[in-house]
Amino acid sequence: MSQAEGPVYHTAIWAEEPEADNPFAARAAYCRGYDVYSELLPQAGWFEYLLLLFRGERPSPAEAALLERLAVAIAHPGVRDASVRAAMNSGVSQATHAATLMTALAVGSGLYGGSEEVAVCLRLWTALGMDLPGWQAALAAREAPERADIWRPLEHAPGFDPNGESCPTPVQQTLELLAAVSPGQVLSWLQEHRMALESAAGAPLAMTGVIAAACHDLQLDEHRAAMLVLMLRLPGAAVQALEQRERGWRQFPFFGRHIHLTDDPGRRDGEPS
Amino acid sequence: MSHQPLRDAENRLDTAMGKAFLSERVVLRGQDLHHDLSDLDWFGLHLFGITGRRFSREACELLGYLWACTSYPDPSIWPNNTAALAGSVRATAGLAMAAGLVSSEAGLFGVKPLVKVVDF
Repeated sequence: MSQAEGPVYHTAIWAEEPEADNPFAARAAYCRGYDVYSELLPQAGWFEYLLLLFRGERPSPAEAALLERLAVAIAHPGVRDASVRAAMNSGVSQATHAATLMTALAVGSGLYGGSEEVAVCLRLWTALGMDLPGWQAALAAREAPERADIWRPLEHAPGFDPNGESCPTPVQQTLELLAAVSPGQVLSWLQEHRMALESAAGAPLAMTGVIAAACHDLQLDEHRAAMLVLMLRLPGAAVQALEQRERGWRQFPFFGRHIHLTDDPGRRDGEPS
Repeated sequence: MSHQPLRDAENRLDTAMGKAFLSERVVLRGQDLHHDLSDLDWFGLHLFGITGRRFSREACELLGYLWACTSYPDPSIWPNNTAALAGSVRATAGLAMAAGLVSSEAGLFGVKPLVKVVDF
């Protein structure tokens, strides 16, 4: 490594030993103390490595299994999901692949069905744990934040779908399976008290609520959970975008005739509207 | 091949684009932002930053008119649709704008054909 003075980055996550002939190339890399290419590459599973990265310690097999099942559940949010639709817009437009994933990330980050909603749920899990009356009060309340923020105030109970009727089957299926494999307690607790919580929320449980509970069982805080969720939701958006890129714009929906302008001053050229 | 270019650039960034000497002065393309460029409005400064050139009042008016009269607030235009989707799911304004912007660097419309047309 060069001895020149310059900016110093501090990290407990990553360390490198340089090659003898090139200080800018690593001969060995260490992640949280593990040799990446000698130990992790031949032995670690992807979800073990993810949890090592995000939590700093090697996870148990049960924790890695829970994250893997969660990842399968959310790898494709569905074609109607806003983040997937945004990615398809980008794909059919033949934007760059990075742009497609950036749009999926941006549109998947929101307070309605996105990573920020998961983060809000994690804050509640941290504050309330398995306090049912506390959850019921929190879900029924719509607190006004003290300070202005880049995020708008929540308009619905976090983790629940204000546009839903009953808890959708995939959400129930995911909750049941994750609760069965989880080494933690909150997924099972959520499954047991789902209906009481839905009653307090005035809305059915949403996938974001299940995701947040799974992340809490994995001991992920709101920031780590939000980051992971953003990443794990990308595959479906990516492939749907690629498909639309190949199918072409002629078969892609055009919304023009579905847009109804409510404040129209009318034509200015004398022709009838 | 050698790592010498990396070594030469290590801990050093040479730039003619500008620097902020905080609490003292700001330089943009060799000009003092608050003195030499103080007569420029935002659009003129925007163009100077990109091109290094000062545009005439007439040219700025022409470009400004082009910018304004092609600003279609229509959510059927796909990058706008993306920004609208971001709003509908309550993402932040910055994320919504960024998502729409990167989507406009497209092959079917937007930046890629624009670059080809300019080159032609």
